[in-house]
Amino acid sequence: MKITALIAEDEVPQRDELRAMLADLCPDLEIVAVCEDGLSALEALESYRPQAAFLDIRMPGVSGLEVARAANNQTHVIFTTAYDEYAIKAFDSGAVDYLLKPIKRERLVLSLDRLKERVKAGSAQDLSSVLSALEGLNRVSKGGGIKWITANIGNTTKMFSIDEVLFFQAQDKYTRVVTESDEAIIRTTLKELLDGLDAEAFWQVHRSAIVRANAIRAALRRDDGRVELKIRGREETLPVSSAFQYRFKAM
Amino acid sequence: MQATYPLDRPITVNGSEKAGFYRSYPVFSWSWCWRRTMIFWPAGILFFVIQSNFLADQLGANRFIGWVLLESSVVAGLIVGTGPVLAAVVRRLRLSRRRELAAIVAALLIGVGVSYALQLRANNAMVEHWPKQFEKAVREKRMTREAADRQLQFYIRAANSPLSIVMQLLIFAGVGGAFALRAYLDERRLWESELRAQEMLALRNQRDEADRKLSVLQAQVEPHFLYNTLASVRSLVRSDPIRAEATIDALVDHLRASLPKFRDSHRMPTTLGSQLELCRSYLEVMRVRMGLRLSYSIDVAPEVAELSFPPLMLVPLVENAIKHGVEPKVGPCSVTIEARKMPGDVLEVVIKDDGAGLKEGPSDGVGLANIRAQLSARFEGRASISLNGRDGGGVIATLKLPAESVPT
Repeated sequence: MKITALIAEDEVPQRDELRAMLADLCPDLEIVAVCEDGLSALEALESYRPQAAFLDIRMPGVSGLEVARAANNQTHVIFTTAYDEYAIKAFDSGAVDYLLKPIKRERLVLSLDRLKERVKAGSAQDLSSVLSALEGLNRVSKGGGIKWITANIGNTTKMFSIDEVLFFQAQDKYTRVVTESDEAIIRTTLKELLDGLDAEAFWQVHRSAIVRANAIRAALRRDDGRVELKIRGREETLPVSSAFQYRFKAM
Repeated sequence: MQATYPLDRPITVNGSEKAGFYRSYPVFSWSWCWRRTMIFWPAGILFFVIQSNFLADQLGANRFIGWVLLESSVVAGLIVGTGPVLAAVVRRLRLSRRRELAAIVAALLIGVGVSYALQLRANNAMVEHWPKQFEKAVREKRMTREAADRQLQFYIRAANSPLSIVMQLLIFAGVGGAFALRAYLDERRLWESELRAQEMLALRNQRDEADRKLSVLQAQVEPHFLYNTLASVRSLVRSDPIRAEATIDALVDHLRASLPKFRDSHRMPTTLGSQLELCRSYLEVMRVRMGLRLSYSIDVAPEVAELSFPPLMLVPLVENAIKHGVEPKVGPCSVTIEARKMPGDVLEVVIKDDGAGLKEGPSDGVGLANIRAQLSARFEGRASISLNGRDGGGVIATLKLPAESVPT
């Protein structure tokens, strides 16, 4: 039984070695494409529709995880990785196979046996939940995970430490980020930000505003009962919606 | 707080002894007191001997010089010494701060009082002598009686005028150590700031020690890097032994720079140069591994490389440039490290890459956040890190910190 396979690995020697080992250990395996970055792997996936894909996770352009997502349900994925503690934990569920670099012969034999069984069993399994978990680990997910905000200011892109941010304000689909010295618009929504911000340090005070607690200089109560916040070093005030006014009762 | 600082040692300012013969000692300490007396007493004796000589001319009463010397010594000693000696006794009692101040003021007032009493005695003697003097002048027809009376009244008025009394009291206060009160009040502040300076120095030493320990911990080469490099070498062994060799050589250089040199690690401060050496060997491994897709340059003047630089800061930044800039980009990339000393003793280190660049939006980046936290903890607002996108792609990371030379 012939099995078609794809190899994606950015380092030439490792790529060549994997190909040589596969040819040696499993003559039934037909390598249809050898790719040096994520983008060419995506293209090869599209044109050859291989049954198996050996994907390096860290690759230029498009990561191995993204390629795997495109390959989902049609290709059996075997990840190769040097050392990724978090990833390996997620792999341990057994849903997806992985090879630790440097790749040992015996371990590769085991993977190939598993691959043959899976191909025999039928269609590739759904990896979307495993991939989401992995990508989640790669990106900001836990509360307080956001440490930096990257934003365009004029012609330059700047990384602000989250400690520099005074407040976030929703503007249509975008969010205005205001620091002590700059302000910028980012394409992340307020809700997405809220998930990644430390709830102790950043308070939502309005449907459209998140403020850093220690940037609040004063809470002003207007005659009509509305509450507005004065922010350190800024002229403008931010409205507080009634749902969040409990925070400022004591002020 | 009780005055607990030693009274028998000179006060130090910025680590060196305060200038001034007696003033380098704590005010109203014994050391201060006797050193001061050694200057003021002879000066006082000289003054009284001259004055006595002048008066003798005026009064026409020549006295035995031994008596003059003895009297001058006693009087000068009492005026110069009473206040300071009493104050020194007070200080030895180690009273609470407010009581000590009150007692010292009282001691100095007693000194001024004694001096003034002596002055009154001298005044009275003169006031007794003057009429005889003028009587003699009138008898010898050197003065008219009216002129002599006028002159006598003027002398007596002058001797008892409030202005002259105030002047005398001020002089006694000065000679009697009252002006040292200011220095006494300042002394605690001086001493406390010196104590703080010493604490700072101790903390700095502690920090440098911690740095040295950190540089030992730096042996923790990033695992992903190490395993990937070994995977690379393994693949090359058969296909391209020469490149395998080059990779191993580069890795050995990097490990040699990273692994602690146990024998002298406790004496080795971290310099910019040593940190740059780590970056260089790391970049060399990556260059060999990436099939020469990567090029790099490090441009730092030798005198800048000798400056002190904290560990575990530069290599993570370079690793960042590789991981987020070079690795995700297709095609050739370069990493440049430059450092220079800027005006105002600022050391600026710039790491540039022309890789994938910054992606808009939020990110974690614990490593970078750690560097930022470490900078602010270590340099308290005198250091900064900024990351900006470059025109045409890539990132420029700029570190600014105080240019400090390595502690010897």
